Amino acid sequence: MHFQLDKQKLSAAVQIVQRAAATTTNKPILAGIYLQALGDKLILRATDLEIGIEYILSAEVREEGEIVLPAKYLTEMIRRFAPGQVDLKVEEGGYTASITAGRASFELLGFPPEDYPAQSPAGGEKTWTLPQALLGEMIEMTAFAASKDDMRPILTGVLLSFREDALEMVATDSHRLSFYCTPLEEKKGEEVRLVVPAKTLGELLHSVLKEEEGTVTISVDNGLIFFQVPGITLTSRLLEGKFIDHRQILPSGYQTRVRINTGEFLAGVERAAVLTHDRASSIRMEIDAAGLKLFANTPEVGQVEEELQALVEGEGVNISFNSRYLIEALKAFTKEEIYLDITGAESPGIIRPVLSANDYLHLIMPVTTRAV
Amino acid sequence: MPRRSRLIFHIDVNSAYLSWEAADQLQHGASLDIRTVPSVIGGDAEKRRGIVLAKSIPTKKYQINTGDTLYSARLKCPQLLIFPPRYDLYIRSSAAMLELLGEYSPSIQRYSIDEVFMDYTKMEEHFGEPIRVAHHIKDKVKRELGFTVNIGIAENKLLAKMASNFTKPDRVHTLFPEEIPTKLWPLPVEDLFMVGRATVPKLHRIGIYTIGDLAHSDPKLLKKRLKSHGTLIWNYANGKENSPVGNIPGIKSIGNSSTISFDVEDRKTAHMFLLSLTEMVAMRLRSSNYLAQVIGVSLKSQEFFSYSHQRRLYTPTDSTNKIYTTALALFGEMWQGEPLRALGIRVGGLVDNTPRQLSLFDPGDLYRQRALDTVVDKMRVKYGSNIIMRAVFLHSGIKPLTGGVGEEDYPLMSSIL
Repeated sequence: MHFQLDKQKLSAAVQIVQRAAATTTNKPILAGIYLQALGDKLILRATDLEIGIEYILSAEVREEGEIVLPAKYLTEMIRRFAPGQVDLKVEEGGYTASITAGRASFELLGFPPEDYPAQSPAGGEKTWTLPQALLGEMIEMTAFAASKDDMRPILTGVLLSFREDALEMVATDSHRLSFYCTPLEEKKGEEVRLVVPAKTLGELLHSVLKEEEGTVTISVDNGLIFFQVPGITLTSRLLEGKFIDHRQILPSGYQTRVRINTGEFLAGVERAAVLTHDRASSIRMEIDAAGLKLFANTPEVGQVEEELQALVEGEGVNISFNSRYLIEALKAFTKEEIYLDITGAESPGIIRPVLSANDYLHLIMPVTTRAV
Repeated sequence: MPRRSRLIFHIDVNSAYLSWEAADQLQHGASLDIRTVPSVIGGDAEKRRGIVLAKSIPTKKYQINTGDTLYSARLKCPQLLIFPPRYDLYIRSSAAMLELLGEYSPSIQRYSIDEVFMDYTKMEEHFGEPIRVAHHIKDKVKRELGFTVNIGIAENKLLAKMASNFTKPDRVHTLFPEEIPTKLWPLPVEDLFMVGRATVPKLHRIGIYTIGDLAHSDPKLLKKRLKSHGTLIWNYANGKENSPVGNIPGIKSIGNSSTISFDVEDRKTAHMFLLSLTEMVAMRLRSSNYLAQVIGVSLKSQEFFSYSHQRRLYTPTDSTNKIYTTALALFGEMWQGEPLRALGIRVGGLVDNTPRQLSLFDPGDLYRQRALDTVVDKMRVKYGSNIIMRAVFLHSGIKPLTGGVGEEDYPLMSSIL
């Protein structure tokens, strides 16, 4: 195997692929990156068996072949090379790569490529295509609400529900829930429900969905989901199990509706959060016709009270929320104004953008001081 | 009186189980005070758990000791009166005492079912001079609750605990720094808190027989011989200890188990015992103001083979029903039909009851269940555990509420006071 490639291009590819390599594993080969020179392409792959990334780019291939090299050393090395061409060569039948860039030359011990797990081909009958920017926004606005705790593994995932003419994404850790719905251009048949690990979507957002303009193709096959953009395929195992039926949870009406500026609300909550003290980091809100007041206190330290400008419709109410949940939710909103809908002091509070109020919502369960 | 850095009270109920039984009997019209005759608290001798748990002072001349089998105790004293343990009574009595003490200081630590630490520092201005107040408290407990206590007063928890142990019953003792040489040092070294059976011979071997010997010994030598424990007891012998009064480290779990007088061989009976144990665990959990996130079941087979399973709940609970249904599921997973001689339930992963983050998956009848559980608890605390029971226990011969006070829940013999 022998190829040459521009350092910048190789480094960019390796840095994306290495994110899928295993960091702790009892199979050392999984901590490696698989490289294959084929035709005029270089194929790079890494997987920890939960998630996999494949990156294909053009290269000047002198001799076809394959090798697995340790991801950490390869990445660190290539990143530090001077700009210019990188030359990588593996002698026929050997497992040692000679890597040269400028005057620097490295020898890196590799693993037998035939031991590396084969890549499942992307495919399946069901495919969907979405703009990258849209999918990115949907992930940003939902995935943070997924559970970080393995107690109910299914909740560590995000539901992608492809309906006839819409895609819904839902994530919940049982205390809050994010919901995003977007119309699909192509009409499909029956509903397909997929639960994708939130971690996978985080990787997708972080490393793959870079282009503002391009599209991403999603396909499913045999318990695996594939996200494809030109040159890059991200593969992930789907979570098995029954995700909650979010339609049963989403309340339709409200008792009290507060219309408020997102940024001012977030800033107020962040200030009040400084003085929350209990396990639930709760902030109390007093909502009445005059507006919305925030309260928090820490015994023996101090207390905070802040009045925010807001338009209030409906009954006055006193309600407490975990400040962290509020902050994370408000940070996800890109729109200038939101509605905070209250359905009762011990029922969910719902945040929606004032514009397109039906496409996105974030639901938070309150904190109660009533002993259970 | 010299200015004291702190004022710590240790309140210790004299022969707690027996005193509480006696007080309860007298309140219910008994004419005999069982504290005045040889009597013990212990399990039913015909069953398999018959040992002396507590004894009256008159048993002393028969040399009956805590931990004796009831059989041997009866051989030593044929006219011995034996009463079975009544844990619900102990919980009620202990709670009543705690409530009474709460009037004198906000800082109270329940160290075990019958021992309480109270921080009286800076409370003199409200209630007066500590020794007088201690007498007042002791007499008030006796008058209002019908049992006697010893109160030790000192500048730290260790010395207060040592002081309350001096002479019994119904006494107040002080152990201030200037009294250490006369009151503490002459005592045999085994009387010192944390000097256990294993340590005594090691100390005797290097010529340490009294607490004073220990206090004047070379701490480096002790450390070499007994590791960190040597340093700890050297400090204790010199009266050095400074932990705060408070429920730290607090209880980590609440458990309840029972050895059964016959072998349980069918599912229905096992379920009834689990329910009976759950009733007590859940009641104690609710009174602790915690919610539990982990439920565990343990079984002991006829061959003394023990095993257990536990499960973490998604939402913490203190509901009798929730704990019971989880226990049943665990039991179903682990029981292979072998005869059982003991069953146990433990709840852990305790979190504060309020404030509570509500969950989307909270059962709809959460508050109604809680209200029901609370009413049943109140009735049982006020009128005794048998005032209300689940119908399944009617004519079953199985107690509707089983279990101990869970002394294992308190960090009893730990060096952390």
